[in-house]
Amino acid sequence: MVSPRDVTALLGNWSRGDRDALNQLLPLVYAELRRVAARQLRSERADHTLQPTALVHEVFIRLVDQRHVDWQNRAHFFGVAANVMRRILVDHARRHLASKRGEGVRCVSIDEAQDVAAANEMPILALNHALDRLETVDAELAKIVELRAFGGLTIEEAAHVLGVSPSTAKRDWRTAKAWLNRELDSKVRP
Amino acid sequence: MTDERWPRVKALFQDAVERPPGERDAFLASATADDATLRREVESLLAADTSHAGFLDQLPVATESVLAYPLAALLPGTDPAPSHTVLAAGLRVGPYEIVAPLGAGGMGEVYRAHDVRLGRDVAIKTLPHEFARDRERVSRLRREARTLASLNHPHVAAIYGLEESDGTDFLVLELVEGQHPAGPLPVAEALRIGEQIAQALAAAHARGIVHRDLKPANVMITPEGEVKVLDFGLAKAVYGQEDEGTVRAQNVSAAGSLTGHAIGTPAYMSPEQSRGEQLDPRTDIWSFGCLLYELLTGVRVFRADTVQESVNAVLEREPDWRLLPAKTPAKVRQLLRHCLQKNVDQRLAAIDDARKTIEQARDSGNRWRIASALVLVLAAVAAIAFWLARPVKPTDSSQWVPLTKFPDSVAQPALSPDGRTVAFVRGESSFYGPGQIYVKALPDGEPVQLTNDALDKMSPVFSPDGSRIAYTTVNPEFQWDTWTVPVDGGEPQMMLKNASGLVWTGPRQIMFSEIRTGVQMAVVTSEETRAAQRDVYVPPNEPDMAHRSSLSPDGKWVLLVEMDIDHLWEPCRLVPAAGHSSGQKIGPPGGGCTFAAWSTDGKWMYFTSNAVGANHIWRRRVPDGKPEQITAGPTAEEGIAMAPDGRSFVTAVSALGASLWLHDSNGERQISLEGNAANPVFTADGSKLLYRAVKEQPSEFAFYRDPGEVMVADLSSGRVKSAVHGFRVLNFDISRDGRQLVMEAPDEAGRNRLWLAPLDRGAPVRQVPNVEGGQPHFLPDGEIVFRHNEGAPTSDGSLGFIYRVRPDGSGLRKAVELPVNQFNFSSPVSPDGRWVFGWGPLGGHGPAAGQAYSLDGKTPIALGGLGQIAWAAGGTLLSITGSPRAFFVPLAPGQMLPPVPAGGFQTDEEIARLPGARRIEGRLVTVGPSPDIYAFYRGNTQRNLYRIPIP
Repeated sequence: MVSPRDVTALLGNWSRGDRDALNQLLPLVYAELRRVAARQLRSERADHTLQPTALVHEVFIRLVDQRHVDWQNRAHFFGVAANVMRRILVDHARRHLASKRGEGVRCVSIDEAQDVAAANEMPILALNHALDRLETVDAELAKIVELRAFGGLTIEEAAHVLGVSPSTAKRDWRTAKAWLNRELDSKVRP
Repeated sequence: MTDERWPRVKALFQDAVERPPGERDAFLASATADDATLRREVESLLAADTSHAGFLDQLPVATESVLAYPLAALLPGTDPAPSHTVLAAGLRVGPYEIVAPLGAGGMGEVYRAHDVRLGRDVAIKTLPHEFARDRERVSRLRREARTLASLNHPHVAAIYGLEESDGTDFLVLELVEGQHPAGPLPVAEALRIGEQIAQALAAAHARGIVHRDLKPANVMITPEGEVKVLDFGLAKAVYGQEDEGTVRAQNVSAAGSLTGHAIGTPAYMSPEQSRGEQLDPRTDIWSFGCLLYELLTGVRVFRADTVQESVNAVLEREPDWRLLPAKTPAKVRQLLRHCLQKNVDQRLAAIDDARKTIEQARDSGNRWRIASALVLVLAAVAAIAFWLARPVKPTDSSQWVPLTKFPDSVAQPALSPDGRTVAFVRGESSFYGPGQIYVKALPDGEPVQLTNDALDKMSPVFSPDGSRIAYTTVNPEFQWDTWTVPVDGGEPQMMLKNASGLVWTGPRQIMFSEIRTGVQMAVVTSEETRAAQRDVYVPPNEPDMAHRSSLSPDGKWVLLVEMDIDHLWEPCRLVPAAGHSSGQKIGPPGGGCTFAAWSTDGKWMYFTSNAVGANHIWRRRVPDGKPEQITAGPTAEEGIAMAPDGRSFVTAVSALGASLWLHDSNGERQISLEGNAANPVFTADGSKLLYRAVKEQPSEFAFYRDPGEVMVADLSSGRVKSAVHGFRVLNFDISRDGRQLVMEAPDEAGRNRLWLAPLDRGAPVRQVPNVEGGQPHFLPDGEIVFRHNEGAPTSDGSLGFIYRVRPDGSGLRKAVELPVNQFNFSSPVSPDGRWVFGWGPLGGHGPAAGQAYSLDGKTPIALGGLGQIAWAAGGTLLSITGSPRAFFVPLAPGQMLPPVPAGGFQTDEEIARLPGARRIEGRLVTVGPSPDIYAFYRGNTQRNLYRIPIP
């Protein structure tokens, strides 16, 4: 069992530029997020919805010693967690979708998922798909959406993780939202 | 649109969107000139920006992100606070700073909050609005809360009180982290949890407090495995007597918990509670029965789809007793029937009887368990393993042959086909982790490092011709690949992507694990090129991972090790190599199996399993022998590489420990030799370091409960000897002149007493007469201060007071008027003997905090929750120790404490700012006579390869 202090120390090392610390951190965050998400899915109602930011925060509280972490380290943590959370949510949504269609998980292609998603059934898959496309256009914009939508970061924190000024982050966030709105809108209305 | 245009589109959009809508057209017209496509692009983005029903804004993720969990509140000038969350992170309510929401309870929102006065985290629960407006009910709740706050028990989550700040009423509760228990659990574990719940109920019932809403969601298992029962009596305290809030089925929501003014949760409610009758402690006994049944079976005893059905089931249906696991002791079956009697008069009347029954059932189940310092959560696992295992037939460890002698850790041995070379990972982990691949010619060649990179590694294996080593890497993206490196040296080459735990099963045939969806890891076999790949075993759930596999010599069976949905190791599994069946679990039951191998003749299966707490080697005869443990002892053995001659195997043998190290002008060196070290204390002249040698596994705080001998390390000669041979103690101290030891140890009747012995062994141990207590320390004048237990244990430790006494037993008197929970610290006495450091309730009845207590009757000084205070033996230095760091703060002559902020130190920075403060990195640093001499703990994993003859 990794103690909160270890994770806190890893975060500190990482924000000071130690790449190894990230290598050690990622599996911990991943495993813990999975565990928490799995538990929530088991215990909640049948039509469960994952609440990603709640999960990420829960994991943060469990893994990190709150008294020994400053907000920059916290931002870094959420930066990692956001990406992991996105993967977990997308997997979960695909599975949910597959079970609704009475098929095996692996039988659903992204495109199929997208069709259903466009009908507003699985917004998470649609967002994921749109984010993938945004990534090819402007990776920075995609990252800021990931940080905010899946990691629950504020503009200020996302700016810190991305190494840009808060005003740039704010502008980019607005741009990304407009881009995604347009992208998703055009799919919903043929 | 092409990517090349995007930067231009983006820049124009960002420029335009900042302008008033009326001016955008003109701006765009001039900026885009005649490029109509460009203009359309920007305009479509602007339209999407202003569209109110933006898809993104409807996404649950987007609206719940920063808005619902506003870290923003910590950073002024960013996103606005949410409308529906009552308390934002960073907000201060009285002395509490909100950290994050923990979820909504039945009565209101629950938050994690930091108590800035005491420097610790608590849970605070806001009250429902309609309730908070009713001042009469609030004042009644305040009275109730006082009663509830008096309930102090290690298995009850404490209620600190009802507080009010700026018109917000909230309950302040002990913050309990962990998981709610969910059945089915192994019988021994279910009973362990049941016993602790019964203890909590017994303590409450003794004070006339009835829980009224006992259910899994009100029980928490902490990461240490301790049970905490939450929300004792809160339902009634908030909603009043039953007759005011009678539960009626129609008031009950279908979600499983009650809304409105109802108390209880249908599936766990007693019949009399369902009918809205007066309640007594027996309603908790019913709920306890429901809970224990569910822990054992994994099924709600009165399960139903609707609340009405659930209520009907409680009133009418008989539990299905056939669902209880076969191993449920008869006494426990009887107990459950007695708890679940619908007629309250026929029901078990006293919860303490339930506790006793479970205790007896557990004791008889534990008869075979050897006494060992197992981590609590492993205890149940061990009990089951011992039911099934034959008596241990360990190999004689004196016959083990060391193959490597590294100062740190090597793991995961693999033998070359001729058995003459061993390959391994040099690194801390026996799973995947940072490390390098090494080979060593046996028996005594030099180890040769083959890799030199930052990738995490595991599972090295020789190719069939012995020329290459394949191994698994795990990269930062959590991708698992197989690389090879020539045994003679050379560049590592990627062999297969998404392939881990690879082994050769023929000259050109391989078997490995492959990630399918998410992290689901299946075992497959294929040709070396991955041609003709087919499944051997696909675990049932997405997060399951089958990490390592081993083919039987006859090629018919595959042994594999896997992780469950929570990424905990499972017992080993045996599946047919043909891949048509998921086979069965055959590893030692109850233990996580991390390595598996076949004997060369195929008649035995070998495992590494932690079924008895620590990892040892087990084996089992094919096809249906019982598992038997073949290594045992204080070390752990992991990994199995079978020698080709079938007469021995190679494994990694580790001794985990937290050893005590000394830092001085000569550098750093290890002081404690064997076992673990507790209570390091320097003599005043700095010539010796004393500690207690214990056998317990290291804990984060090194508060060992295992008695041990006091050891004396002479720091100039390096010699370590036992101070009082064979005398095992719990706590001790050395007098200022370095000649006398005072120790805490039980007498024949089991009562803790104080004992004295000279350090030079010139006289036998003698008891301080007429004194019972522990955690003794010498005052400068030779008197002894110690703690005497006085009352029931509380969540912060047991209640007690500090007394002082002369070594001859005379002059016994209370030294501090206020109760102190903990006094087992290193050097907690100030040089002038007027102050002691302890951990106790603020003001005598508040939450516990580190405090400097005056022996002259002055008000204690709260020092905060950051660590412990110790005065250097020389008196010129104070250390404030946390983990993994300490601060040394110089003291002026006569000064006893640096300036302490009101309420104590809250952050490291506050300590670091003290004049002359020096930060020392290290675990549990103990200050010596000068700032350059100190002791600290170093967790050490010493792990080397050994050859073990097969018995």
